[in-house]
Amino acid sequence: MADVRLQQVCKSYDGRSMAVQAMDLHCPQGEMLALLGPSGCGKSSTLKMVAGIEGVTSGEILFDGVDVTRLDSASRNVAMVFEDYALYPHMSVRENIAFPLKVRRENRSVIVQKVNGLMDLLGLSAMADATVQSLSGGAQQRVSIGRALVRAPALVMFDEPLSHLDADQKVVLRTEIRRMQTTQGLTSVLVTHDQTEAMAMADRIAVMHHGVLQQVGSPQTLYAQPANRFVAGFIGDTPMNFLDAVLDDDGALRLPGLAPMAGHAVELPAGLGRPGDAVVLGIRPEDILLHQVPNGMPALQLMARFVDRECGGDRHVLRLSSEAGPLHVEVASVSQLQAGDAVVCCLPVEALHFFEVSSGRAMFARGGHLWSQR
Amino acid sequence: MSSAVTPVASVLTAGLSKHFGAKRALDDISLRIEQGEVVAITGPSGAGKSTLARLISGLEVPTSGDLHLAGRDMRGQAPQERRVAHMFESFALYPTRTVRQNVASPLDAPGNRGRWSSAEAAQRIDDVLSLTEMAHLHERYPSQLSGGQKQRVALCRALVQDPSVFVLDEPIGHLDAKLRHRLRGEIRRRQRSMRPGTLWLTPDGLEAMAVADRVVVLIDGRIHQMGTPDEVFSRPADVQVARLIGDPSMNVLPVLWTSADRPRCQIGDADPMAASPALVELHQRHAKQGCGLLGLRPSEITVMPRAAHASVEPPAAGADCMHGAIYAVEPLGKSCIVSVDVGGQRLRARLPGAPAWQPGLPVTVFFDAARCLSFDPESGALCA
Repeated sequence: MADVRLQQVCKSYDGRSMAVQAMDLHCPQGEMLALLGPSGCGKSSTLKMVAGIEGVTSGEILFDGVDVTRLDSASRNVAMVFEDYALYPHMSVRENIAFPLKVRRENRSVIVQKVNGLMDLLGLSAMADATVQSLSGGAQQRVSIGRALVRAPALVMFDEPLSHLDADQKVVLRTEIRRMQTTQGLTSVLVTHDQTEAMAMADRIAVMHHGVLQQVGSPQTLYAQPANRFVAGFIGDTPMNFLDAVLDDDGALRLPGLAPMAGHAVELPAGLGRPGDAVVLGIRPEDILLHQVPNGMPALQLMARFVDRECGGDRHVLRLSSEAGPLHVEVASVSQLQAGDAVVCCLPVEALHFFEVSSGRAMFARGGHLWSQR
Repeated sequence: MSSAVTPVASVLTAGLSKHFGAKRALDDISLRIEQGEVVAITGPSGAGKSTLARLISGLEVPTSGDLHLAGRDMRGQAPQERRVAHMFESFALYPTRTVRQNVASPLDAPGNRGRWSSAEAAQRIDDVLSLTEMAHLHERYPSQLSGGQKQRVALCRALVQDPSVFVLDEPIGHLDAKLRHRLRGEIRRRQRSMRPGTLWLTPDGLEAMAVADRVVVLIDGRIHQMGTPDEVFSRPADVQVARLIGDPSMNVLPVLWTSADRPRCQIGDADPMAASPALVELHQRHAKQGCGLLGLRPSEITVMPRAAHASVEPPAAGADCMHGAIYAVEPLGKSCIVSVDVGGQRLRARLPGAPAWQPGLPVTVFFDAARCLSFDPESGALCA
């Protein structure tokens, strides 16, 4: 499988607006790279350019260091897995998977061996001779993955592979793809709008927005150290809370609804901003503590009122209102709060993210050394 | 059913059934949706969710049973007389009309003509377009929209109305996580402050729990369970409900009990394991012919590498454990889903962080028998 690199790749469909802007991206051999973003972010355009379905406006695409920008899809040896499976409906599971090899007139015994190996890997052996139409969506998608892998492609592209599946099958196939990725080390590109899918399956994720690459990193990095406000808000099941705050004359953080501080004041690191500067504060819903002030842990305390609760089974999302804006808090146990009840929200400083107001850029990594020095 | 019940239910069905030839698409559905109540119907595809929606809005005729909307018997009532705001899963937008014209279309329908002044109608349209973050696209045509944007237009076209009942068929499935999360909260609050009830259809059990006052689990055309989100999550009526609800859903493991004097419990072809008194009690109460079905919640399982835990105390006194091997680890940010192979059975655990465990790593799975649910191995029903 190939090592794939994009260098300053641009795409414009109308010659004026850019669907993809100066994209630099690297997918090392054996890695799954997810292209993640909302609709219209340029992820599908990027997929099509890498696959050779769509030409680039400028820039280069390299497979193993070789420029393939002008090569067509077949010459790049890229296999696709589509969201609607695109199987041959009248053929059996075995025939579908074997098809790309039959077209190439491969040796019969080689075909049998490869197809059996893949059916085994994908858990399809028991249904080898069933017609694909009789299978569940999840099984059909596994057939389509088998058909993609059987010809030993340089790169496999997954285009929203789970979006047509039922919720339960989605979870099962997600696990299967993750397992295959960790055991087989496919070089693959996954395109999805669903952050959970990207986090669960990919080794690294490239987040795109308005045709611009926002951040590339492991799922953990994107979650813990988002590079900007867009990534911070896009990654995470219950989205991150954002609050507007201002630095006051002492370099302390001021925002409406802040409880009078007992003991220590919470300050920002020196050099971060000048008095009067505005910042955007971010905190994940599960990082907010209710009622309990951690011992000696520097934290902001925000006065809020309970609005309602969203049931998530073993986790619950509480919606609160505060003078600083609405807040979502994730808790494990069912709370006995009534609408209108006053709640003290504890925002541990080490869990805070800070973003520039104008650019949305993260001001420094969460939990970084700047805090621990204090 | 008498329509003199007070207060008048937004939707009241009694023994509602729909058969397509030999196929029972819906069987004996009795359901009551109060005014201002949000009821979610969840179930796998093919369960009959959309058929129920179509029966309510009059696009299908029931094979048997009664349907009342806002106290009115719907027998023989044409769709346009029912005052149902139906959002279709397929969107069904007018391709030649703009976003705004699509949303406005039900306000101009015969039943609504003259109900709102043009200023009031414009205000209603503006409200729903801004709720769904579609206001800036109001001059576009459906062909210029993404799937998620089309879905929001279809949603607006339902929400803009003042009907007897809202029927929303998969209203937010195509949206990204952030918008989905915001919309389900705001729509729920909005709907609960209104007179009509809301029927929210979704295959996503988690979305159903998050959005609804009550959840109805529909499988193969039959209601398997009806209850508050907390009830459905904590006491799933049967194995099929348990496998639909939760993130990920509950593990339901068939177990085999060996040797009656000192019971040991076997999962798949794994080695039989010693059982705690609590687990033995579950077995004695519910197992049949040595077989049982154990329900374990992914968030209530602990997984540890086997070599490392040798010196580690089990997480809780009396905790039961079983041996397995890592199948896959899926990181999700604040937590991860770890799949473990136990004797050929797949078990999922939700653990904090993202351990760097490779497939095949031998692990021990700890669980607390007191937190387990037990299902009848024959009927699949939850044991009391």
